Amino acid sequence: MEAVFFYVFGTLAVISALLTVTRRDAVASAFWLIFCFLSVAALFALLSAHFMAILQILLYAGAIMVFFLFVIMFLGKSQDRVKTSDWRVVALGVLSLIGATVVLTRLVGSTHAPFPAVADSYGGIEAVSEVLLTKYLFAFELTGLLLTAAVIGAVYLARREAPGSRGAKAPVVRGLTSQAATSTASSSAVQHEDVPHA
Amino acid sequence: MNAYIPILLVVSIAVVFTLLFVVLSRVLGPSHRTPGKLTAYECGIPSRGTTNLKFYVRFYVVALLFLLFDLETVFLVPWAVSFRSFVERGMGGQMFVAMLVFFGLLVVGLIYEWRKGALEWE
Amino acid sequence: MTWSDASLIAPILWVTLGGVAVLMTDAFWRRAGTGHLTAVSVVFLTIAAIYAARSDASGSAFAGALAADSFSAFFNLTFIVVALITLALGSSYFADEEQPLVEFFPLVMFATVGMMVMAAATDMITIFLGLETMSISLYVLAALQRRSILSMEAGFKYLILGAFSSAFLLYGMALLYGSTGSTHLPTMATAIQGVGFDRDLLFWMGWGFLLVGLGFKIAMVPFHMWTPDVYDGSPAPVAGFMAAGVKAASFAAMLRVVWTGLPALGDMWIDMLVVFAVVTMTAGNLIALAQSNLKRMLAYSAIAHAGYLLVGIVATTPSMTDPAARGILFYLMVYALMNLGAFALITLVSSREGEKVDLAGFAGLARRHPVISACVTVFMLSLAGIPPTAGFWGKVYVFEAAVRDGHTVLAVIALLNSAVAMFYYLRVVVLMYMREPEDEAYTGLDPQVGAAMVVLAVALLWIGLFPGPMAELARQGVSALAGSF
Repeated sequence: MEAVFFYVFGTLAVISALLTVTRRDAVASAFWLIFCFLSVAALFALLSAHFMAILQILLYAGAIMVFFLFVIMFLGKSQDRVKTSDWRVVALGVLSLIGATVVLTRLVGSTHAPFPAVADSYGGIEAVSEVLLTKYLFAFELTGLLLTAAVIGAVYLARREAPGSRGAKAPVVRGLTSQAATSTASSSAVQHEDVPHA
Repeated sequence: MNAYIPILLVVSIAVVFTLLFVVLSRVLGPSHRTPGKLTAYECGIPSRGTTNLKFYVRFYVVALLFLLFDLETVFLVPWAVSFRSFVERGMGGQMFVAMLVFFGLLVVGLIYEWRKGALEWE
Repeated sequence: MTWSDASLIAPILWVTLGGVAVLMTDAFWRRAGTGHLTAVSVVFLTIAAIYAARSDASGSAFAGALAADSFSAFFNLTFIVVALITLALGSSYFADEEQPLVEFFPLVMFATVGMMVMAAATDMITIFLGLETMSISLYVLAALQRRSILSMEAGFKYLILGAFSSAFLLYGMALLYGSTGSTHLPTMATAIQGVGFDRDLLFWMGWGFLLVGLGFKIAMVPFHMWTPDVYDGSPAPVAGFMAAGVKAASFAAMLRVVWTGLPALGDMWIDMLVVFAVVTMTAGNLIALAQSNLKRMLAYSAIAHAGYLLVGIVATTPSMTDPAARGILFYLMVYALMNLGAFALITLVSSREGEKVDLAGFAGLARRHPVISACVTVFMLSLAGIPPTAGFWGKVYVFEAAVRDGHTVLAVIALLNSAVAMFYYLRVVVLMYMREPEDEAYTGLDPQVGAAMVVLAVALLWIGLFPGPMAELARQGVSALAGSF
């Protein structure tokens, strides 16, 4: 029974992931990604990792997707459709898929890790809080600090500047002098920026 | 495994009924494919320009802050679930302080946002 | 969380509190300028420094998440010094009358916390969270000057590439966990010793990814591409903080992982590291030669120095000996000081002259500011590793250890590299002393930054003349790790 559900949700996850990357409309992609996240959440639940399943739904399918959608809306839907039918991209994808499969199967087979069998409650919320609040208490508190630093950064970077402030410094554009020996670094970065439009 | 049966039931009901209504309205509903019927708004004024409006950057801040505080809420859940068990083992005070520190750091972030006007729409 | 856990990591807690205090001061005191915020930060950093210096307690805190020992104490002091000097540089640099960039202060404090955690961490999860705390603060710090396209580019580039490298790091940690069954470094060490891991692909891929992740942060070739653009675009005090702090913190974490977590690796990966060391220092030095922009030159010099430090790691592996290990810590501390000095010069110049940090702009600086020029000379001599300065001893300790460990060829390559590097460091000195000044160059200089430069130069000379105490401090620092296996 469990195996049946595993294959059902696994197939759904793979199909929705494929649809995510093949849709031409960014919003449609985002919705398929939500579907993918939900399928993965079901897979976590099948592993009795309830906390992970909740996290997957609340954080990924919820907050992060809201964020994604806002960003898509913020940038505005692109009028010119993205071209996805480049055979080189597809070939690269297939090759890396095969490579990843080979490596991952070898990986799993190669280890002799000392992992004991776990109890049924493993992965449940109580089990998570049991280690999170005792063994990994410091990591837990540090996460709070990390989030606070992220909040400061987000608020600072997205804040609209008060009118009339800091008008003295005009935007500075990179001069040509410094480019001499570093053209490789810069040009690769430029190519990076070009990818979404290609 | 049996614990999931109610969830499965809910999901299947949702899927079945959604599909059912979509298919039924397609099959039974009258279909007049005239240009007037195919516009987004049959009544009122015709739409002008594109509907692909760009959103205001403020939404981005709201979404980001929602993401961060959602993450924090998720961390509250296991603490709340196990707190009674910790109290029974005499670790209640310790856990209370632990959550107080975590929460304190987040409240500091919240106060900062509020004082910096990130929560104001303007 | 018990009281003893908290008292063991008192310096980290005080810096955290300092960050929160600065944040709240800024939030509730609208008129607080950079001077006030600097004062608050300095108070908390000083308290933390006192705790760090006086800490004789050692042990493991928070169920093995971090260790309080002489190693972490050494790095705590290093990071606090780095943070103090960064604040001294930034307090006037970001003091705009109309809208001072007050976010600089809490973010520097939080980044310092992340660095301190990285040096103290004995669990991979703690290392990762420390690294992320540091990095996220630095992404924002790099983009602090929102009006400058360069600064935004630096922040964005650092964020994208940094997130990419963090993913590598995290995946590596996950694979290592899968292979050893633990994220706790000492437990991993025993797990590895128990079984033959040489054919364990999971382990080696994990270790490789971990090295990529950390290699990015220490600017190891070929993961160095971000360095020049990010250093160039970041505000000068932030670039100095990055060069000094991030490198020291990432090396500290790397040393913990290598010495505490994976000592049983032995010399199986040393050939790979030798290649990385040679490529890193050679590429860094050769490209630095061609730079006409001081910030980019220092960025490539930072890459070259990462190569020298990798020589130090090569020399301490597989069997860690005190002199070799001592050399790395000594080098990291000295490297932090001399880089802060060099970036202090940029702070001085760019705060008055817009973004102009062209090398030619330093022509004739000695005529107008003899003291500043003398300080810069000390920094450049130290970076080049010329005798009366501290940089010389750093190189001596590291290269000597390499020779003693049988890596003579590597040491010779490193020496040749140092000779090449001398050219571009001394070019700055020559420009300052031998050329005529431009017409209206550097009329007024900021006294606070100048004072910081004098302090740094004196410290470097002092350590150069009397390297004993600092070397002893470094020796004590590594003794904690030497005892762990």
